[in-house]
Amino acid sequence: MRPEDRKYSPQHEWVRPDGDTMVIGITDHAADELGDIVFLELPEEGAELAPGDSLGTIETVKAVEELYTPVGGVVVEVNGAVVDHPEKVNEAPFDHGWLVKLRPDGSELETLMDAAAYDAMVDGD
Amino acid sequence: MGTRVESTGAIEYRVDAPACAAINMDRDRALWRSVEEGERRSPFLRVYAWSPPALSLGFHQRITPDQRERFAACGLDVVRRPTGGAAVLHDQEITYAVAAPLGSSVFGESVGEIYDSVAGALVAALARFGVHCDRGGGGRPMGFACFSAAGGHEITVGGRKLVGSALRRGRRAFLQHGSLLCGPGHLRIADLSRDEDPTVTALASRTTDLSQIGGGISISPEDFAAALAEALDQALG
Repeated sequence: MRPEDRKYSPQHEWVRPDGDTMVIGITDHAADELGDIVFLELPEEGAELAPGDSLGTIETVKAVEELYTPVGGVVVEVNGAVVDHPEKVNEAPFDHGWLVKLRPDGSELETLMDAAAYDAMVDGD
Repeated sequence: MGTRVESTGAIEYRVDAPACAAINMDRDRALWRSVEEGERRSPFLRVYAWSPPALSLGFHQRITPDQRERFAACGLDVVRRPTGGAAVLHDQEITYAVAAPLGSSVFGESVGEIYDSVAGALVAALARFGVHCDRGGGGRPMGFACFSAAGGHEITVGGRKLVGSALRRGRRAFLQHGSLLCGPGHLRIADLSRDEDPTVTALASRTTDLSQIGGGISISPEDFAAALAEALDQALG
């Protein structure tokens, strides 16, 4: 079972409430499927994002992937540690491999999956 | 663009006249976006060459001002690809771009599935010209030049890389680039970037090209495009 303190999107991002912010990252499934991450490009602090907007790009040894935010809001913090050391996302995607913190603009979390539903989606097939 | 779109039934394809780096990458970005945004629903293959020869950088790849000047002084355009990976010097080669919706029965959705499906079609297409290739070099391409190492899904002959490839995956579509080496022109990248990456000096021993295979094999962009499109079509079943 993946962490139950957060919600999950079908695109393999997670969102964890943290005070008045939401922390966003990618799941272990996404990190494993992507392989070794070598570069991350994330939005600037202060960027205003709507749900589904680009959250930047992530590059592995052989592919560039788009990242999308499952919730809208203003970016209040970017994890500079993963920008400097992208391998941290592979090492601990649910922990210190988080990507950004947003101050959310709504309650889109209700539309996301809980851990059990996400587990069933990625491990059930 | 003045060139005719051909079709195998399931795959549309087009061979473009050689163009400069900026135009080539603009066309590929437009192609990818047309699938990403749902304007185009079928897989599309574009085959082309570069005039003048050019250096394409991976999407996130860095280049020093000195390096950029060195390449420009040799008459090489420098451009950034929308796809990942490392630098390719496009000279005496054929480039392809495949854009298709994610999750199709032939291409799949994951990075590995996409590379596998295109690599399988490349092997089948090249075999028609007597080029018998292997898939996967087991290397980890991390240096400045794409051709310095062959990754797990890339095309090799006798352990030496013949086709380099890179991928961009969006929400609904992917774009894969690949370069088929026809001659040794790409090796100039070693002379022009050895200061920044000494590993590029091994490039000549790690790559091969069509002119070195058998007694030398010549494939036109038109014939390559038709063979690759047919191989992709057959994979689509």
